Amino acid sequence: MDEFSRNAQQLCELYGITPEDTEFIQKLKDIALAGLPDMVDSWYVWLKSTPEFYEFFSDPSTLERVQKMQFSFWEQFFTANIDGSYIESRRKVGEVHARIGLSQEIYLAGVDHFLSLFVDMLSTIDWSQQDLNKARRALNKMVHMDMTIIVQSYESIVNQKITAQSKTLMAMSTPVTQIWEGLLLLPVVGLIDSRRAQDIMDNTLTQISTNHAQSFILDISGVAVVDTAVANHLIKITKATKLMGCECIISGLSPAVAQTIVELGIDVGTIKTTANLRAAIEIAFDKLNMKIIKQ
Amino acid sequence: MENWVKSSIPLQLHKGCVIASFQLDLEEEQLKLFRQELLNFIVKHDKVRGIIFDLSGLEIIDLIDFNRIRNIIDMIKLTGYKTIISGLKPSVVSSLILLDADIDGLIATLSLDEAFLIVDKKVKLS
Repeated sequence: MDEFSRNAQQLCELYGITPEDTEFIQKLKDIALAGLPDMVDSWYVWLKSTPEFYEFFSDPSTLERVQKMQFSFWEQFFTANIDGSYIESRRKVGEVHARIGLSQEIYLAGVDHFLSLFVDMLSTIDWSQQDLNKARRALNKMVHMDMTIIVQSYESIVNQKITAQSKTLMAMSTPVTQIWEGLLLLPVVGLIDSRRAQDIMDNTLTQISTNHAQSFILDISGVAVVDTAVANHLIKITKATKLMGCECIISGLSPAVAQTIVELGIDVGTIKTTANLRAAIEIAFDKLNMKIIKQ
Repeated sequence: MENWVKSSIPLQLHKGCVIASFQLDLEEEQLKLFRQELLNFIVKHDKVRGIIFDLSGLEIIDLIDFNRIRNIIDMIKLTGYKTIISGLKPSVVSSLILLDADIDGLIATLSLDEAFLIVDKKVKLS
């Protein structure tokens, strides 16, 4: 869990939930639990009108399990014993939502629907107007706190997923391989942004240093767009390899890329570029004083 | 000219090559002394074939240091000799490129071996 999450006491303070509030909720418990089966039924009538129902609850056994969980959820809610395990159970709900891909939209709408059912329930109780108002406010506070915890844990799961994915992406984005002694090859596929360019440069420089490479071929035939920014990144990578005593050859320049580079007026300076990988390998071998001969 | 104060950058002569090993972090005063020593050295020895700057001992080079080294290389060029930089660390190179250092016209190698090959003109320079 992230370090910024608040504990039970801090959450209560944040939402202004006082012992008086929890007392009201606890007083409501018996009435609410008695009316809960009807409420859940009416809630499912509402849920059936949404497309999400058929996506997530088409299986009757799932539906039954979810309903049971809902009962225990509200039972815990009306027990109103806000402590670490209470917060944890709310977090679990958010995590489950994130894992099964239930949208926040339908969850928030669902909670709102439940809240309105509770408010309807309040109107059937013969308390004084003042007490009813206080109970309503207490209900609101508690439900909002629940919602925040669930939404937060939902978000953190989604963020974790995104971080993991971008890590995987970064890991596979720079496969620098040694194709001959002193000759490295890196085929680049996809888009080059500044972060990836930096990654390519760091990776390449380490590989040059460990493999004692004298030539480095950067194949950009798989790069979709070459604009000023990308060209500048490529120029920087070339300069860096030069400082490592390694010659960089950029191969796979398509006619379109060649045209854009000249039209954009990018000064490629002394960078060696070739149309295909074959020519680049020939140049590299020439530098290594080697030759490919047909037998 | 004998100086009492000396820069702590040692100069070695190996196979007719002057090798300067930069070890400590660079300071302006030191580099000035070193410049003086080096230029005196190469003018005095008439059989120098090339100069190699071994920078493998440096963990950090900022733009100012780099430009000072460049200036020294340009001065050496005026005396008619070629300077080869050797042993830059990947992290140093990476930061220099980030700082937009001007590296045109520099000759760099990964190791002293390769630097000697360049001095011996056994490697084609592109």
